[in-house]
Amino acid sequence: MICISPILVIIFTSIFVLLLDAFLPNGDKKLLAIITGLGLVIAGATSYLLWEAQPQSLFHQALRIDQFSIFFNFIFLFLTGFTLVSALPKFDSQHPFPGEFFFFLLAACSGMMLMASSSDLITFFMSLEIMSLTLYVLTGLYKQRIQSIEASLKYFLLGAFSTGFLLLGIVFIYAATHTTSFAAIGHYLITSEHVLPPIFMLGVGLLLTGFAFKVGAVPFHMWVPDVYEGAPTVITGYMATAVKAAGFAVLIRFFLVTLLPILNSFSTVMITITILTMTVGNLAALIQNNIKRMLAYSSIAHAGYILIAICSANSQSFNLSIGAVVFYLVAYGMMTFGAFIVLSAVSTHKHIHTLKDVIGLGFKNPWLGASFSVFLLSLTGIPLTAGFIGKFYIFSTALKAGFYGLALMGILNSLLAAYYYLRVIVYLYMKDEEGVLEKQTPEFAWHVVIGIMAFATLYFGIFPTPILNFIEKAVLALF
Amino acid sequence: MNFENTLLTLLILIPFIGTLKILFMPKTYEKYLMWIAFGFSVFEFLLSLTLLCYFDSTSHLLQLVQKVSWISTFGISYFVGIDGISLWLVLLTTFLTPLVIVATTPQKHTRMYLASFLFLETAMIGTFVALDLFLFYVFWEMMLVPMYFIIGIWGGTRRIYATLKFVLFTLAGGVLMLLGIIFLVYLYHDQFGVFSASLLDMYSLQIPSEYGQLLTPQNLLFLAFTLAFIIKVPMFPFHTWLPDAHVEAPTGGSVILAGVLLKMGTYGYLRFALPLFPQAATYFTPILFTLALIGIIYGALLALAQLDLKKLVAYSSISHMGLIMLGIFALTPNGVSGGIFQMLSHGLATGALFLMVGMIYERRHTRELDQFGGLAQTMPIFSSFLVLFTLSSIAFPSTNGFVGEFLILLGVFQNNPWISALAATSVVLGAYYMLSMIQKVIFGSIRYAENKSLKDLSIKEISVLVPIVILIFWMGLYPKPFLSRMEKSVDYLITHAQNYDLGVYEKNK
Repeated sequence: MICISPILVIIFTSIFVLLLDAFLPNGDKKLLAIITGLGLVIAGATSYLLWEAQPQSLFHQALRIDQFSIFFNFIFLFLTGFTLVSALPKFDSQHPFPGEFFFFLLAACSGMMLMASSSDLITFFMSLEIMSLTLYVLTGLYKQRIQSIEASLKYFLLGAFSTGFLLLGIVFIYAATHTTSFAAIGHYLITSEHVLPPIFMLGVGLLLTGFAFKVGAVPFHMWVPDVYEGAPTVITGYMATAVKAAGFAVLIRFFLVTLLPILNSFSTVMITITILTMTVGNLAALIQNNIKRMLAYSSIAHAGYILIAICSANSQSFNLSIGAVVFYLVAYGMMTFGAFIVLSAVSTHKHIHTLKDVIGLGFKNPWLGASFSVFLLSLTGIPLTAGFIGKFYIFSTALKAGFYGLALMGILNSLLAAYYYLRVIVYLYMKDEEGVLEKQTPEFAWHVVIGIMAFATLYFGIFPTPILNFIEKAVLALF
Repeated sequence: MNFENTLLTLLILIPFIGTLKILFMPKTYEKYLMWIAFGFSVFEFLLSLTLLCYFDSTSHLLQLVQKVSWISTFGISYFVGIDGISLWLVLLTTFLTPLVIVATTPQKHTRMYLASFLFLETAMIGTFVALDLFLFYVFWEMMLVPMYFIIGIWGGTRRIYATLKFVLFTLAGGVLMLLGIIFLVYLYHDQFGVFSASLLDMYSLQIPSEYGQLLTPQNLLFLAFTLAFIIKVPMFPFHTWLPDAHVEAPTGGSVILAGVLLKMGTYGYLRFALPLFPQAATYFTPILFTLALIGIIYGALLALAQLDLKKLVAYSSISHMGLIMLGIFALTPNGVSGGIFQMLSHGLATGALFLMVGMIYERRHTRELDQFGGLAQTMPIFSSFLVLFTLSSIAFPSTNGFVGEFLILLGVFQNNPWISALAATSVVLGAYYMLSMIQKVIFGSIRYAENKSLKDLSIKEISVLVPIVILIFWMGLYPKPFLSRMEKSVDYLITHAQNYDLGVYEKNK
């Protein structure tokens, strides 16, 4: 039981801050923030203590706590913590976040942690719903802004639709296998000598659709740009990174580990989705003038790169492929979250939409400009950044598994992407016109978050070995 | 761990420390930034001169090596060392950087300019000394970042187009090379059971190749590497980024671009493409010969037609680089030595020409050939320097250009006399366009009033050019110290072209 303590801490803290907010006089959010932070720190500390423990299955194999889930816990806790810190200045602004923010943030975090640990379709479904429902609300946090409300509604409707697919998929799989446990489904696949019933394949297909929706893979990506653009930028950063990580965590546990014996039958579909996701994401990002939308499309493209590693998982390259996915999620999390927070920081006084709005940022605010450049170069995949190591890892996986075409597509796509990332740097440093940006010092909290993210992006780009060792351990614990 | 083995690492680190120092300097020291950067680069140059003391020219092996494990999961290590091929290129880099810093530092965004150049120096030296494929790739791409800023921030009116084109072209070549590198790492793993990205291990690899077949792994790998190098050199038909980048880049950017960055392409052939993929190299030699020849003649013809001084020098670079490629692929001792020697000559002469173009542009704010004339009367010192560098560029005997071109043509002649004859036309064409440029710019009568009041070179500008002039004549009159240090490595490359296997040099052995 002790091993679910991180999740329990988060759940209890979330309920506590919700109640406290109801009884506290209006306006005092500092206390809530401190308690939320404390909860995250305690959860992080307990996770750290559990790192050396043996993998355990709990509640009749509904949850599995192993190094893999603990590693993802760290990703979620860090990202939630950074989201919390980056949201702090928002409480002093004209349109402050409501106090429920803390509850929803922690609830989303607990949902993600449960998702990464779930080893049963029912637990998975419930944790997914905890995460999704809270995110719908977080997206619509700006009640005054019509785009925020629109994004929330759009996200909710499409999300509910995809949930339907997921549920139906689970039902079909249950109908075929009479179980919802990952382990039991895996056992069924190994022992069944006959051809698998079509209903099982249909169920898996529907589940795949649901996953594709959650990670924003083409052709289920339509919601991504609108929702990312409408949501408060801090929340967008959270969604683009943590939610994607949670989605891929389950994708690894269910598709790669459990369905390993029948992976081949899905390879055509997966490869098609991968190539589409990368290409459509990049092509659409290429023509965006709105930076937030551009980053949204680029996040679709990055999901595509991660899918390359998932596609190329076969019996020889299995550990490598999962390692590549996990490392890329970490690298991607740092650089994308950082980029969104930069956007949030520059639009304190004036809302920043387009490339034209950031003209001259590099010289008006050198640290912000330099950090933004680091994130963009990392997203491009220039060496000495974590993004490069991530790409290297992913392309190695593809080549190892013999998917030369896929690697080539990935490479060509990253070239395509280089153009629009580098174009932002053009606006940051190289334009002659006077920009609309005023010289201003962003809030301290943003400085801290952006600084840490930029430093980590560079640090793990130069010394990836420590994190690679952690990941290796996490991947081995999956079996 | 003694000083010798950390020397190269120091050379990589010092400019980087300089970059940080410049970036974090308080605002009150703004005026001295240039001198701090200059100090770092001069110290770097002096330190790099000690390479000559430690370098043993009687050995073809890799010297002054340092190897530290870096990313053990893929067998990647930090592995640096030099031999006769890279020694002079490192020195060329450390020689040009201080000159560029002192001669071209602008008033606008000085801090970032200096930081970019010092960072660029780190990347350039790293590229020339890296002996690990992954490390090489890291430095190779790292160099793009400062160059992207240099062209993009301080360039001319079309700078954004030019800088994006430059970066995207180079990236396009680079990413395929990355796939090639990963493939090689796995191939090594398959054949030897351990991961390694070290170049020395790769030399011992058997890369599948079948005589006469096009789509063999070795050929494809060669093409992947070739694309990266050919764009960098650049050779026809991948040269289109070069005129744009050169014309739009600020003077300092052009000097480093022509002086050092282009050489990375030709260096890549000597260090990677030729020794790693010998059969493929033989297979593709006719094609590369043809492209080099086209580049030589086409570049010269284009230079002939230019009305802009900077474009003229830029196109002449394409022609000269073609000649260097020809020398390298002749695979004769004279050809390859001449190629390396010509890399240095071209770096010096073209770098100096770009500096001079920058100097006249600062005074006259135009680069149109027609706008000048009669400068010999108003700017005698400038004119004499321009003539000197032109002589080097057209391979006039007693200048370094002559030695390089002569060796290359000699080397090519041994096996392919006709190609040599064709390539020699570039010498004629080169003399034609360079001398007509000289005639238009400095001789004749003064046609424009603006030209009458032009100030001649300042002491600072002269002191930048004099070291280059000294080197040009030194290398032209007494090239032996330069050639003798590359001789062993070149000989080994040619005699062991099919079974290249470099070792690490150990003292007293």
